[in-house]
Amino acid sequence: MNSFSVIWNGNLWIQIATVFLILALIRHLLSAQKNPGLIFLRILGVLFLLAAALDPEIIFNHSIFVKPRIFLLVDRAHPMGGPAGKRNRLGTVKEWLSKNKAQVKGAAEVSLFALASDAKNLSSWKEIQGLKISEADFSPREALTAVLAESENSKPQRIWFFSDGNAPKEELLAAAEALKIPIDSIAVGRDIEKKGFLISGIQSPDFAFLHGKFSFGVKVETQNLKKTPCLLSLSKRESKKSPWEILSQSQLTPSSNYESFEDSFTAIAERLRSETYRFQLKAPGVFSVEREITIPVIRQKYRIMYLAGRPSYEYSFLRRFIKKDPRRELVSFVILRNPQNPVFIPDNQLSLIPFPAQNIFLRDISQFDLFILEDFSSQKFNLPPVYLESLVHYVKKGGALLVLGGPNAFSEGGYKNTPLEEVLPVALSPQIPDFVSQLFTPRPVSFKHPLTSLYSDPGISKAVWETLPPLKGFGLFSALKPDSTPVLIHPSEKMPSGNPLPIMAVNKFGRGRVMVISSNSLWRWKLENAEKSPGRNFYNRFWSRVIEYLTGTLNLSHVRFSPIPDEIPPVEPARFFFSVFDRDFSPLPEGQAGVSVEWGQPNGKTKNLNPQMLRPGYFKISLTGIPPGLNTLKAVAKRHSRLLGTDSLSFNWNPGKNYSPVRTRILKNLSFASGGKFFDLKTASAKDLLSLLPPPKRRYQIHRRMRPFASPFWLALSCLVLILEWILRRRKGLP
Amino acid sequence: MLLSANKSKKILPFLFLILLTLPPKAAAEDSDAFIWTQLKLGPNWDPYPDAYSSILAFVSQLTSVPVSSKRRVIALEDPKLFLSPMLILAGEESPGPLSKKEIHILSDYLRAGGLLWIENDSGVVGGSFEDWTKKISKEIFPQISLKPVEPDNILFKTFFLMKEAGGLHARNPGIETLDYDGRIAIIYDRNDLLGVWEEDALGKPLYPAIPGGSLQRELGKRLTLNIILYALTGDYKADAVHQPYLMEKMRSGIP
Repeated sequence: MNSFSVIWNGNLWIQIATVFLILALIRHLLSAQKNPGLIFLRILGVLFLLAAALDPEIIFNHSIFVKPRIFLLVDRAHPMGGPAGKRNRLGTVKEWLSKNKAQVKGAAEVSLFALASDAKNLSSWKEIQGLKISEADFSPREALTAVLAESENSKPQRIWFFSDGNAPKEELLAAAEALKIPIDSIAVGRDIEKKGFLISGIQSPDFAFLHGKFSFGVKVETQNLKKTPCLLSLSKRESKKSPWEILSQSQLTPSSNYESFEDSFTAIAERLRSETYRFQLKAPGVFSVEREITIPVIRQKYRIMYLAGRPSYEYSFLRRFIKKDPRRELVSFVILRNPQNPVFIPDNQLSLIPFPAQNIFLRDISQFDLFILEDFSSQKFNLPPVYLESLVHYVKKGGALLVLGGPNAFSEGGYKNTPLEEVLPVALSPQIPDFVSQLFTPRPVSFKHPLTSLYSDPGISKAVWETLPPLKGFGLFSALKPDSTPVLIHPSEKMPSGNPLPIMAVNKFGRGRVMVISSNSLWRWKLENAEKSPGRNFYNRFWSRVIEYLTGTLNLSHVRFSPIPDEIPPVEPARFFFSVFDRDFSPLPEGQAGVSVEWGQPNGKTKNLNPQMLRPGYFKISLTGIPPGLNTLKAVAKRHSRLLGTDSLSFNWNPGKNYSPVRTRILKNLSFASGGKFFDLKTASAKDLLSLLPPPKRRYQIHRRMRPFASPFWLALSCLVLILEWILRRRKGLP
Repeated sequence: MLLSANKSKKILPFLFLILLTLPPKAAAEDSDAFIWTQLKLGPNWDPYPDAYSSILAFVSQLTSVPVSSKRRVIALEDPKLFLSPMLILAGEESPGPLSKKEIHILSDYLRAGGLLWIENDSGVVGGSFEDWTKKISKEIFPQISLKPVEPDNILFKTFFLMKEAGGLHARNPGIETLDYDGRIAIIYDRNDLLGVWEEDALGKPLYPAIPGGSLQRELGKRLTLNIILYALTGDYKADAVHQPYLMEKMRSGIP
């Protein structure tokens, strides 16, 4: 339908003057002479003048219908890679849009957006077909803020949101509220009605301190389990053969069909090295879900008891070494005076204190990680057998024992045929005295043993051992016990069996470790090596290794992968993280170690990868081209060619599985809160969605504009006509 | 020939005296008995040649420390230096400058855990021996100085509980230490601790302890033993487990 309109462009004062002119003309016509020719000229001149002054503009319009406007948002965050029929979720959306494109375009003005960690404005429908799954999660705040900015230019009537609802609920609702536009949610995905739950995340410490408390954070998601009690339990077991022991339980009862819970559990680390924990989620009528996690357990401080039978340089040097490391807490007693030493001096003038044998051996022994007995005679102090039995029990339960020799140790000290002999790696000699005060240079049995391989270069280790100063004095033993390992041997002395006499030997007893060093003159390795290089630091290296070995720290891994979720998003690149710790379990400073990752693929092939350091001691590895099946990652950290630690991780790569379920509830809430409507993509038709839009509006559009009297020609013509009328009037002699 | 009972009674006290004057029981069977190691440096390196014997007898009598009856006398370049975690240097006047090599050896020794006990037996404050001691200390540890010991120093606690130092003299400060790496590396004494041990054949002191007399002498002997126990136990008596006992004893009154 066409129409036109007129607007006046002339100046206001001119328009007022024009009105007066017309009034004057009318008056004149009524009173003036009746010459029709002159009257005609006057009227013509005034009309031309009026037209030029008023400058009318004629606008020609024709009417059109305007379609309603919609924003079409497509979620492409990584959960949209999950299955939805034959395709993944994003693929299903693309298919639906492709099928309904013409209908939607015909009925509405459409702006297209792809959402993940932010919003991307798509310029054409073709771009939708080229969309790929993002690595990122869906961030409603960031993504919908960008949509909001766009809506301020041209506000849509509705928003269509194609998503599986995997987004933080509160954040999504808040962002949607800011839009103030009805949102029609179109849920995409599978098994919307299936009952189930999953442990979607576990937060655990990188390591726990022995005897210390630590916490786990657990995230659980339930689906269609409204009012069904779900039992979440934390269990622990001592070994792979031991049964699981439940530590604590928590009951979760979802109040809606789709719910997310977060809970925390506290545990106490009781075993050094590592402990395996299990989370189990159970509910009636649902398959239970289990998740195991291993926590490295380290000591915060090593508590060491050092009991010396007399003052000695060995005690003085070893004590100084132990105390130098703040991670070691030393409690020590030295027998300064023997029972046979006469007393002439009042007790208050001596710094001697009573030897608290009962406290040491019975009450406090379990608090120590390492018990050192140096040249200590049980016979001299009439130690009751129960004290030695307690020491044996301590080792059985996991304590470490180091027996250092001397004239009062071993058989001379009364340990033959006592419970203590039972735990030692050697059988004591029946000969008394069993201590030989001679110089000798002990020989390592192997340079590969962790107690002898003290330098990264085996050649240096060997050279240093071979140039060590001699020790003075060693104990005699009758045999090395089965399952014991000789570490150092006498260069010439033999046992009755003909085997070399062990100078240093180790064994395991129960859960503890025992070491015998038959001499107490190792301080010579410190002082006599003072001028030698590289042997200068040998003493410190040796004792550090001994303490690490006995307390079990030596085998602790200094590398640890962060726990992976139950469902690894099958989106490439897949990302994994691991930490590398220094010797004291602080994060490894930058550039202190070489870190590499070996990727083992299901087909048996391996690849070496370079991890990316995100911060000191924390690394990321990104994998692409992952073959389906069981993949393994092995992270290795080396310092100066010496292994610092390794950790391995296995994951099943199964694209199309292991995805979060569709969060229908979140999408329903979103639509309800915004005044929109919820749809399931499987059943939703474009017609249903389009029916919610307002009808197209009629709107007039300007077709043509005309300003016929805009030219000064009309003003000039008006003047000419009026002048002509004046001349004619004068000629005729009219007034 | 058998002695009669009467003759035996007369001889026994003499035998006992002879036994007492014998050096302490040799600790041949011991792995690492304490050896009195003295540095032969300068012309007056051994002002009290017999003091060590009395000291070792005292140590052996009162403590469980096994001692070697033989004294070890060494020069700075002797490899046996590094077999002796405690080294005694006595003197009355400067032993002369040390060579660079000697300084280097002494530095290695002290930094690796050795303890140097310097005894100034000159009886004068200042003097060439003291100047030499301070100069050498500075050459080895340029950043660290000898400092007078406080009454709560570990040297006053390692065996005997003491409030002050003893010796033939009573200079103040009498004893100074240089601490390196959390331990005492050098002990410097001005009060002639070795002099208190010199006795005649009947056990009578050869030199007077001035002005404190016998108590000052006894404190000198106790401090000597404490220094040896420090070399063998370090700051063991500073451990927390000992403190309540030691505090109680200190409150009850000590010399």
